Amino acid sequence: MALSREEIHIISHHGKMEKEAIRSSMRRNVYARPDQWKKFVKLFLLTLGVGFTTSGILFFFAFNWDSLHKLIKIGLMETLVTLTVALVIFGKFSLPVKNTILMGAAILVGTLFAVYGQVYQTGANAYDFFLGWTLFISLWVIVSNFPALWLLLLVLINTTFLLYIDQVGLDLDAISVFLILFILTALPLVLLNVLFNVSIIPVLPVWFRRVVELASLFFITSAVISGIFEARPSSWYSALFIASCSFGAIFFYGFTVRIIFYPAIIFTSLIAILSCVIIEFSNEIELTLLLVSIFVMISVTLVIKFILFLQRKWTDG
Amino acid sequence: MDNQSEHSAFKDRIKLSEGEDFIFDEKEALAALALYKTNPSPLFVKILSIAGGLMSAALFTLFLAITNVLDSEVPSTIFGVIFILGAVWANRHLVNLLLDTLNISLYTIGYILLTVGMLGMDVDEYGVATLIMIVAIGSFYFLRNKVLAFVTVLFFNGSILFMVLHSDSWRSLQAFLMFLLMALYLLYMEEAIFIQSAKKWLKLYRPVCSGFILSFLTALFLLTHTEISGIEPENLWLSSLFNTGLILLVVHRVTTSFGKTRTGRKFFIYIVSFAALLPLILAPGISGCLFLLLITYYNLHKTGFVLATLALLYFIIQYYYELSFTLLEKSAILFVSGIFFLIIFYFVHKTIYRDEKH
Repeated sequence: MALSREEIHIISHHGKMEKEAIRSSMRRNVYARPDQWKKFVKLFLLTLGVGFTTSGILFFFAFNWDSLHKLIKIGLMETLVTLTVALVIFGKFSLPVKNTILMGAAILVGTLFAVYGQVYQTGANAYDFFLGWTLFISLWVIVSNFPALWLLLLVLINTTFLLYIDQVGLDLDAISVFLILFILTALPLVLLNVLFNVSIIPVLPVWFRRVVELASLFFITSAVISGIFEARPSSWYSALFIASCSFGAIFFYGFTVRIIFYPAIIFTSLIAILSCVIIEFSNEIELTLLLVSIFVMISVTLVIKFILFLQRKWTDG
Repeated sequence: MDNQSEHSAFKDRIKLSEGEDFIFDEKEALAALALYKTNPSPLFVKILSIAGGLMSAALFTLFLAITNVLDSEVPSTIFGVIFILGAVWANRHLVNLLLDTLNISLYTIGYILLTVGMLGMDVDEYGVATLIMIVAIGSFYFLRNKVLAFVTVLFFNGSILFMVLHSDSWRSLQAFLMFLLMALYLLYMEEAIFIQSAKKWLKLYRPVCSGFILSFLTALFLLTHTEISGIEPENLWLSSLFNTGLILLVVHRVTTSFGKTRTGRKFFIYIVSFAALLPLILAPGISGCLFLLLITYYNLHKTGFVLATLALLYFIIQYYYELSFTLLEKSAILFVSGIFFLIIFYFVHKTIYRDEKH
């Protein structure tokens, strides 16, 4: 194992090391090695090459768009989708490469729907388009076991819902909208977690968890906060109930798996909610500013103290 | 791993890297290492304390503005100085992460009070900015705290940027960018200088790097958005030329630092890099991010590398979006450059493959 940057720094100050010695030690231990540079250069050139070439092709079709026959437009997109999926099924690539290609195919399906809508002027709402897209890639998402695709599906589901609200005009207040968004994001995560624990799905990467967790927490916090400023209608109480339950559950979960991220995000969320309570209930603006400023400072300090205490306890014990 | 085996593993690694006869004060080094490892704070704790500190500082300043406290210049200035001194004193004498948030607030409010107070006393803008710069350098000398060091770098560069924008001249913005580029080059490529110069760089190195990256990207954003900076697009070549020079310097450093590279191959690398950079002569955003990408990879600074990648993507899209060509011409440019990169990739791939077979 190599020395770390910090270790080299420390021994250079407690031993005899000239600048040149430090430099060569850093080069041997810390900095990117020749094999890493080779990998970097290859990946860099390949990404730029593929990226520029495909955008060149796309721009070319975009330029000629009006003069192309509709058969060519749709046929082209369909051929592309079929080709990419065939590559995934029959190609002899590694799994990550196949997954990346499938991701491309899933995005192409969306483009196909867009082209279709444009050619036939179906008069459908935008949410129809997103609903179709969501439904048609669902099967791939389920069989692929690829987290980036899960995330795409979640984004699509939420977008479909938002567009539906916007265009069909359901009479929902902001609280209910945020609440439904929370359920649409949090429920799949809970489900995936269960499937992961009984080993039906092989991986549930940390980055995916964190992104979805932060998004869900943002939605539920926004539901509670918008209720504070909206004279607290009845839906606010259900939001408050769901928020308390899920905060409690996340907190408890954080303590069982011993990950300080969970208590930390719950506290951050609580600080935001309580600040809004102070803003709503104090009448004078001077007093509000002073109170919130002091509250944020003290609460963040206490939260950090508590988190670091937990971290020490959990790593030592 | 318990302490004992951790220590012997540390010593083994030193012997492996520096040789058997490397002499160092074992006890002191182990103590310093243990001290460094005592308070590891995860990234989100740092973000929380910076965000909380800056937010409460902003709210408190608003409070002062509304209650007209900021109108009395002399007390503002005096309290500004007291707050900064207090924060700097606390960061040296109360070694405690708990006070970070309070300290950042105090420190930031100090700078704001000082600036507003001085401006109120009719000191001209350049004078105020120079003073803030000096205060930032002065307090940096005494700083031992990561988060405060990061904020100080932002204040320092912020005051220069303030002067640059106030002068309303594109030459000064380009000069500022050159300064930032050289600072980044020194930080990332000449890290040994910082390591050797003082013990405190152990803690302050990364936050200073991050602060300079953030300042650099901000300045680059301002420069390339010609509608904000007011630069005539044809004047952008100066920055690009500087970027290109530094990129070639980094490429040279990388190719020469790992043993011998054949002269022919070296020339191939230089010519290809130059040819790839030449069309970017009016796109300093892209070449600047390429420079950032290279040095952060050299130094293996993960956060910096991710930032550089995202910024590169942004500047490439912005460049092609604003290019005043027809869609067909843009498509041809993109296609040709894509093929260029793929051909180079093919050659590199073949060369590396051949090398590995031998």
